[in-house]
Amino acid sequence: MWIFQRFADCVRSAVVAALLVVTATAGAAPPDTRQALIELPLEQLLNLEVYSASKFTQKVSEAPSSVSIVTADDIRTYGYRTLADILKRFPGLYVTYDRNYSYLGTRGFARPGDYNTRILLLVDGYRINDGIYDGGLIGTDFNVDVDLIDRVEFVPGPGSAIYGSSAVFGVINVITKKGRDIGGFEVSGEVASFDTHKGRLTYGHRDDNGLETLLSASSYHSRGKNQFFPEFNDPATNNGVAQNLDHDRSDQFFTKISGGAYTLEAGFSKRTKGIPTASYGQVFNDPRSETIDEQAFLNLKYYDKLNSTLEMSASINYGQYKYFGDYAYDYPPLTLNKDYALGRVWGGEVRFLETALERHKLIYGAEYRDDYRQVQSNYDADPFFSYLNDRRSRRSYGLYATDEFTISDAWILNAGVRRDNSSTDQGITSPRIAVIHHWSPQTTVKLLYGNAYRSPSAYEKYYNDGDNTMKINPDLKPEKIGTYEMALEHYLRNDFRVSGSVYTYRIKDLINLVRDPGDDLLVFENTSTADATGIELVAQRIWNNGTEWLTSYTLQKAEDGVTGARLSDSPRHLLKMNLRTPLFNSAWQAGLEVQHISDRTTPIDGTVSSATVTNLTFVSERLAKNLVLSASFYNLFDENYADPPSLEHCDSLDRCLNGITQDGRSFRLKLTYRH
Amino acid sequence: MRRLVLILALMFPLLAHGAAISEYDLKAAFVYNFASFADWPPQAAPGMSVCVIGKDPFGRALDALEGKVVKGQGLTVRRIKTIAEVRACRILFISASEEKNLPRLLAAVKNLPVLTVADIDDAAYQGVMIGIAIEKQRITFEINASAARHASIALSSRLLSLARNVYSPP
Repeated sequence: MWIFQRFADCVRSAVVAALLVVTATAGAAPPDTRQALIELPLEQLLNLEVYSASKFTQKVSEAPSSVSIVTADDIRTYGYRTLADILKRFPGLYVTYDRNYSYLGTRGFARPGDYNTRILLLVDGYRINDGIYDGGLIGTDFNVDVDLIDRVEFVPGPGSAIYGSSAVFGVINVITKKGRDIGGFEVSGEVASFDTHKGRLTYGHRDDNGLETLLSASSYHSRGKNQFFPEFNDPATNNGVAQNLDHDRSDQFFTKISGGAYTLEAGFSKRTKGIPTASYGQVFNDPRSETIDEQAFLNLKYYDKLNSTLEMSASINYGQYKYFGDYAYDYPPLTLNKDYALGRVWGGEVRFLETALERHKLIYGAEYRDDYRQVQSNYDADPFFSYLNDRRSRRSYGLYATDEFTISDAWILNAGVRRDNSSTDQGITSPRIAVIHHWSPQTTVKLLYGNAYRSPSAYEKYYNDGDNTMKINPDLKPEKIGTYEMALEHYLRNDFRVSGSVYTYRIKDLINLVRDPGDDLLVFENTSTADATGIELVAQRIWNNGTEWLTSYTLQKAEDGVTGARLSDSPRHLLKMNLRTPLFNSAWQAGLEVQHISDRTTPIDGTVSSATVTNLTFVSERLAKNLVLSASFYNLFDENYADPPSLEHCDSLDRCLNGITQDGRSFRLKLTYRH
Repeated sequence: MRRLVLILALMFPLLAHGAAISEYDLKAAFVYNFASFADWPPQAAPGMSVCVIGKDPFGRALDALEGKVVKGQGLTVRRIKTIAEVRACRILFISASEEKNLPRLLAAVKNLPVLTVADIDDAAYQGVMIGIAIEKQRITFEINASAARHASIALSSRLLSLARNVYSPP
């Protein structure tokens, strides 16, 4: 009955949130404004800025929860460099960076060392989460250049009823630009602090026959700063300075060709990152420590209206993920250990949208996925010694249906279910039900309950290092989450929106790395549960001169379901503010971003203190024809802060990091030329 | 300092204010302008009736045009339920709700002397004479010149020059 108790708590909180929302609806424009508009010449009408209600709600209809969007315009105005930068802006999301990978925290939940397995990451509908770790890479290792993103939608809450595994806390859908959005050639170059350079060349075109092409290649390189770790400050280990080990290099290629009902997309990316932290018990400051992540995909999509009430979309896709890790160990002697993973997968999907029945919008479909190659190996380079050489495969399929039933003008019922079966796990059913009530033209209330799950990854099941420190667990089961959520959305005026949501969830059979007391080996087990409750409040306002203001506040409490202890890397408060405004008669756009995160505990019972990070970007399109200039300041006030390290952040001498220091103030200058 | 920035930023909406121009007040003014910059063939419907098909997004905004004189004719506004009623219209405004019906609607008005205007992204490319869109908070429009030509509707060169894009395949 715990969940009912919690839900009652939530409802109470929501009522308080609702009381904060004071209705002050502005009337429509007075008739004389309309008359004045009609009198204006067309040239002037074209220069008037409007507030658009659709801006808030565009294209997110299928979602029964509070959806947030970041557009290409936001990416430019706020100088976002990576998908992680973009995601940090969404209410309730935070990113932990260990100077090797970026880890996304959602709803107070961020497992140390978890490769973003509990969020489903899609690029134009294609699943990015790989076949070995089930991770979605979001840093410089994300496989699409952020300049090619048209918008990013974040749908929080359980998404397994449509998407199956991984959509535990939500779904992130990255939608890329079309050829026509580029309309010719685009060259972009940037220089930034820490000896960072980036270049991009893009071509986009749509011809009169409807054939649309987009081709883009990007290259990024950062030498990085020499990182200092006070925990390793010893003359024997270079006084705690990791020399030239924060280097980061990534190359990305992306293409999209569409004509008629077909769209073909392909992408390739490779990222090489130095490891300055001596993680996993490495020798500190060994110049060879690095990881390489390589992703390739091919996705052929088909979309057509079969008749006036039936739409069909289908896709077949192929994906490959490769990982190479070079780790320096002192057994002794000092030896280079190599970690390798290869995941190859092909899959297909077919989906129908049926509107034949009045008041019903029925979505149903089937998905098949064949992880036909899952290879993990680990060996010493010289002298050669193999610890692991594991080959697996997995097939899975899912069937799903969701109906959106418009009961009346005021009430919508959205109910769906998905059944997944696989060659490795027991079948799982994921239901989701939501009631949407349009209380008034300004106010919408949504109530949601859903189950979601995540299958254990090949890594969690089968990774071991010859039973030296870690062993396999083929009996690992999927972990499951049950979520209750209530959301309220209200327009104070037609240009001023507020929303609030309250959620509570419980994760059962949480996949956790534990030490088996029998043999003292590390193993993944379904041993724990986690409970969390949270409130998210958002306010957004747009002015007619193009100024936009967005603030969100999140209060969350996530704890271990057995011990009641606060989860590590789980901040109580998140406060975010984004403000963009035109300056100097719209010659420049300024984007100011302030993000506050409260203190977080670390897995080794330490704490990293709260932090407020401010970023500021100026963009101008008017300096010269076809030229866009942007200047960004990241961490403007040089806040000194750290992210919590995972348990693996201890070096060969068993010295563990208490926090991973993040970048101080830095700059970026970027020029984009269009032709 | 940081705290001050945060506080000021959070209070921003209370400090600044401004009356927004509503999207559809402005779009109504565009419709009025389109009427003034088009010439219809003699067989066009009498009067200057603007018909809206689909979910009407204008509220009162379009009614402000009622009675305005365009090219010597009084402007009237009608909401139509079926496309068969289009024969009495000079301008057909296709609202965003009809995005999926667009091919069917266009087939039904093909070669009729009706100026089609759609509140749908990329509509001009799909064969609507004038497609309205919002770009960077400003209204823009695209013209499909060959569609207008087939319906014997002449659009003024000034209108063509202000369009963001003109499609005119032979």
